[in-house]
Amino acid sequence: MNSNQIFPLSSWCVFQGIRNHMGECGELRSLRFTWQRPAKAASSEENFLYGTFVQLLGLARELADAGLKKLHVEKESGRNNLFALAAFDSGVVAEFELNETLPDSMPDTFFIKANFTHGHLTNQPLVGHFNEEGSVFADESGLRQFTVDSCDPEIAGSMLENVMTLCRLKGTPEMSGWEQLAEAVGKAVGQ
Amino acid sequence: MKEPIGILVAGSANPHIPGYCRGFANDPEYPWKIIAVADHDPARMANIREILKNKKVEYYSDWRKMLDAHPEADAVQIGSDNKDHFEMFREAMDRGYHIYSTKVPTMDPEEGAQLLKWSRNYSKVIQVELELHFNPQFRYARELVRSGRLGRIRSVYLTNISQSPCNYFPNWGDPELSYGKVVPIRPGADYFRGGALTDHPHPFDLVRWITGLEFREVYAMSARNQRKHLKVEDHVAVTGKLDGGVPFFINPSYSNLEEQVPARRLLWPKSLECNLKITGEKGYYAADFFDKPLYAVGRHCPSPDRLIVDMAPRPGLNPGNTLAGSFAACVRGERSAPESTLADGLNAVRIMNAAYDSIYRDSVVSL
Repeated sequence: MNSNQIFPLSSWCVFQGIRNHMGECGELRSLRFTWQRPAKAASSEENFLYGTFVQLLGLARELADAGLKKLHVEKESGRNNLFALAAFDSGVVAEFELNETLPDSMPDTFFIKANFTHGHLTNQPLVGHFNEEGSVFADESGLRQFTVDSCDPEIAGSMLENVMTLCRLKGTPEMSGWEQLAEAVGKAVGQ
Repeated sequence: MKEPIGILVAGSANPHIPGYCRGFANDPEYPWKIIAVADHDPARMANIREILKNKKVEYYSDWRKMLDAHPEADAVQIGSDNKDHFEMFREAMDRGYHIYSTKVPTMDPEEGAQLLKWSRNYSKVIQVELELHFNPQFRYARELVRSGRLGRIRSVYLTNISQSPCNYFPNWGDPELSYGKVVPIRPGADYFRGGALTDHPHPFDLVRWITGLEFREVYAMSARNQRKHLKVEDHVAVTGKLDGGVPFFINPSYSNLEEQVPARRLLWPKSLECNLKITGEKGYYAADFFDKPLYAVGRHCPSPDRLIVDMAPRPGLNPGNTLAGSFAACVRGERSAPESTLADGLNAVRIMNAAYDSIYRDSVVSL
């Protein structure tokens, strides 16, 4: 990318937000960039490496406020899928996870996490990769978000499926006073 | 209910030991009966005594005396600082006990080779604590990989990012006690090996356990510490190649900050980020350790003014589906091999030491 090329990711509101709050969390120590896209949205390998990745490196360099000291990349051969570590002269290390080879049923996921001496700035959810239920299996036939409740393999599905399986295996808990509740519902709906 | 096996706890310096003691104290079906606990540290011992106050347990300040006094015990749990593990292994093996070692058996390669040599002719069970084998998400990941549903593995990503335990367990932040010797993280650095990387062997084990692939090349970096006072590293990021050139990424850091309180609170805002992402030819699987989060803000919460992310309880259907339960099953002869062996533990240590060497030399280390 030469100096005349545009740098759109500097307009990313998450990056701008982190930059705006930089003074509130102490000194920056490490960064993590997550860039995940389905294969259908993948760019050319050239654009992936010299467009997207270079831009994310540029965001890291700006947040680290120092020059790039060392870059190490582990890339899947022939695919837009890489992990990278970058060290900056300020001692900040940035971690990169860029993957544009996910099944087409997957949505985009873009995160930055910045770790400071006295705080964190991130758009990454507190829990879950990108959903609060925690587990995702995607292939070309679709995307399934589910909970895995137990080491017993038959309990892996939606919350309700898991509850029903548990009741079958361990017995259904009794519910006292349900008649009263049913009567209240009946009255409320006029039956 | 099966008869619990009799355990001698040699040292409680490892932060996981109180958890095992709570299991014995509170769960009537716990697979272990703790017979005795030894620790030379009065504060740690007081904590254990409090946890076990309703149980008949004997206490020793000298772990060797405890081993000699209880030949009726089935097994020794090695729970000391890592530096003492080798001696405890040796003496427990001399006396013919089954052995359950917490976390790393030793970070010293020569000691590790010696332990492996001795273990080859040892008829008793040796299990090394490598966590998350019985966490359902990771077990499910293994099934997806091993059944071929994900197809050929193309990349693996695993983070195990926690708060630092060193505020609450100062010994954990002592490089000599943790790593066994004082080695700067890189030439001239003012912090040393023995921190987050030494604390987290299980991510390296999990990648092998789930994928069946071995580590071939390792490259690692360590950022300046978030906690300036810490003498051991709190950040490490590791990448490299598995069998077949498959790229991996592992982050076992203490990058989530903790509350500055004297007692350990694994609460705010989220104590542990343990994300697994496997990209395969046929599919993609991602999982978080926090499968069913519960968000709490409450006047009587230990951290009343902050959002706490906790886990909803998980159903336990099979008592054998725990590290303690699987060890007990091995000791009783109901299971042929431990869930995680001494060789598994030492394999993780080999990769961790390669990562340390990579940081020190700033170069790729081949395995």
